[in-house]
Amino acid sequence: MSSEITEILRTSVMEFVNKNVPSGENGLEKSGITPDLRKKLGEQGFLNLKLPAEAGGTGMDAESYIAVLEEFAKAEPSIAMEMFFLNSVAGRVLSHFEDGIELLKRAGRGEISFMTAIPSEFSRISSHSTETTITSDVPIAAGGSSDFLLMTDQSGRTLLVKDKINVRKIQKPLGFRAITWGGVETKNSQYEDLGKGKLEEIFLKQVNLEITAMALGIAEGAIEKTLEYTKVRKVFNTPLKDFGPVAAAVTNMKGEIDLVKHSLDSERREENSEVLRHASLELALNSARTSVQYHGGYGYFESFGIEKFYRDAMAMKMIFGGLKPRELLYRKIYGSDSGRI
Amino acid sequence: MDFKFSEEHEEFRKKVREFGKKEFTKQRIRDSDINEKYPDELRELTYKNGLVSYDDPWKVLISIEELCSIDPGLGISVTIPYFGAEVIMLFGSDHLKEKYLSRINSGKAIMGLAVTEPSGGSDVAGASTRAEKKDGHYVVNGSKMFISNGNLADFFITLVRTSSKEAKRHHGLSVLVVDTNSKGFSANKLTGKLGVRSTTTSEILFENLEVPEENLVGEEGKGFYYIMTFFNISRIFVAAQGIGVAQGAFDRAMDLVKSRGEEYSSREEVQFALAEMATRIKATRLMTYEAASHLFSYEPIPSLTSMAKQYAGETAVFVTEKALEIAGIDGIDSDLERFFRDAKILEIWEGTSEIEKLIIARNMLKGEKP
Repeated sequence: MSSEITEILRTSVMEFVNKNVPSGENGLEKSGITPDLRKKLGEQGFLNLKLPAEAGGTGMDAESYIAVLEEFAKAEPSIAMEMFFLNSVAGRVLSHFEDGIELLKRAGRGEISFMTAIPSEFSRISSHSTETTITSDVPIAAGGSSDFLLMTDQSGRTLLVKDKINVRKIQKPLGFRAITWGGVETKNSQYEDLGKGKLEEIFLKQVNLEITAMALGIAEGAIEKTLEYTKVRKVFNTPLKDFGPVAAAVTNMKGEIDLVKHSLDSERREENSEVLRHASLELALNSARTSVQYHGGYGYFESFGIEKFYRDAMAMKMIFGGLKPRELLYRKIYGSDSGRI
Repeated sequence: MDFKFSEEHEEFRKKVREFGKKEFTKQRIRDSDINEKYPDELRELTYKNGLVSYDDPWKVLISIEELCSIDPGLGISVTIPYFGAEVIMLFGSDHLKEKYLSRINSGKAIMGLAVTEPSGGSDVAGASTRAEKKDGHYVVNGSKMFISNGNLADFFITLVRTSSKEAKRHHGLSVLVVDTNSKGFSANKLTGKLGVRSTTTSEILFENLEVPEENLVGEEGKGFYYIMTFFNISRIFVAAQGIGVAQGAFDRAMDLVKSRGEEYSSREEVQFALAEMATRIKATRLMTYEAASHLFSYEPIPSLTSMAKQYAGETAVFVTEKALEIAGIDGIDSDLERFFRDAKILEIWEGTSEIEKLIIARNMLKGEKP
């Protein structure tokens, strides 16, 4: 797809956000992604971008899809994350199952949503399954609502829990507050076994570019606002931008953002995807932290729309960073296992 | 050179810690954080237990450090009711000390410091809230922003401009004690903070508010210097907040690492992260104690105080971020996520890290040695 079309997509994301997403004091983090907003996202075709054609997907190319994720993350990272869970995670595991296709169709239209138990090396999942039902306790899941659940059981198998699930909702999670976070309980629920290690494989290996796009969007969102703010905010009767250390810090971040963006736009992006994943997670956190700092007291308040980038950037690192993906990066660079004695 | 606290101070530290562990319950911490509720009953309890007393500044520092390591929001909330007291102690008349500090010392009142204005956080000398003398009163008009204890305080140490606009910026400022029950005072609580959500932050407004002349602290025109002197004191206590936040996050990260077994704790990436966190905490502690020992013996070294404050803020941020990286997804609803949110303000309030760096550099340029 040409970059011209990608640019049109970016514009349509911004128009959608400006028209439909609440901001300021009563912003999206307060309302959450409501069924109404989800429906609008579905109607505009944002929820089924990468779903397979039989599930109603648009067959969008990777370049355009990551551009949309990046653009949403720039404005509202929670929306990007919900799109990611649906298109990049559920789309990959459910498209091989008849029931799954049906669920994806409905989710792509914004009629239902689901939760994904984030794979973790350390969270203790307790589960007990018979051939058709599962009883389990999943420490942390995230997503839209409790219509269905994608999870990994104790033995590492990826399951689709089809019954309504019980979510112990976290009231104020660290990041991505417009989506639901919570511990999940299922009791004698119907499930479908999707195979060993599917979910973990996706999180570890198959979504590097999507992660990069979201992290990059967070970094851009934070630094673009900082660039604007430091032009108008005066201290000692001088705009902040005229102080050398401020200009240096903000322009350094902007430069790093441009480099990652360039790499993500490049045709060799897949080849560099592990590096991009790690570089962008670091960049998002550094940019968001810098942004809060230069917004001073104002940036510390939710209504200014800055501090959420800092929380979301940290949450990104917690979800997608860690030792296992790092080992994959070492392997990529060294060409063999490394970093483990 | 002696790096040990006295037995009395060690005993006091133990007492504070035991108090915090008992009284900073999960319920209280959660309730205050989520609902942005000031824990007044805990403030009273802290006072009754003698945990914050200005008789001994080392004890104040120890209390802040220990309580913030249990929960930064509550730790700061119960130690901040005295914020600004040193201005009256050092520069106030006997009348002001008797009238205001006695109420603070008996735990019956809460006070605050009103310096920052909406247009300039770091630019103290740019204050534009005006006070004009009229019939034995000062008439105050203007507003202050991001004021701690804004909706709680009984009175504020308030920086006002008393000279004409033409006068040199620094020389035209004075400090008044403003009663919040005066006509013309109002406060709007600001909600939705990233962290330290149990503390109360407000915008406060003065509209033709009359302050008796005897509420002038020290001399007219010297307000800027009084406030700068105060910041050289209060920054030590912010550094103590930073030690507490970092130590509390480190302790929790260490517990997590140990709970994951030897295979995990023997990973060198994990060990390096712990080592870096521990080293920074130790360095912050040593720097803060050195700065405090100069200050508490009336020989302050402003550059050292600024170093301690700046480094402590950065350490708190560094350690909480590292701790959350270790925690991974399990940290999303943990103590650590709260420590992370609470840490960032330490790089902003009481002089941003940038301001601290300027103070340090300018003193070094004058010939001071690090």
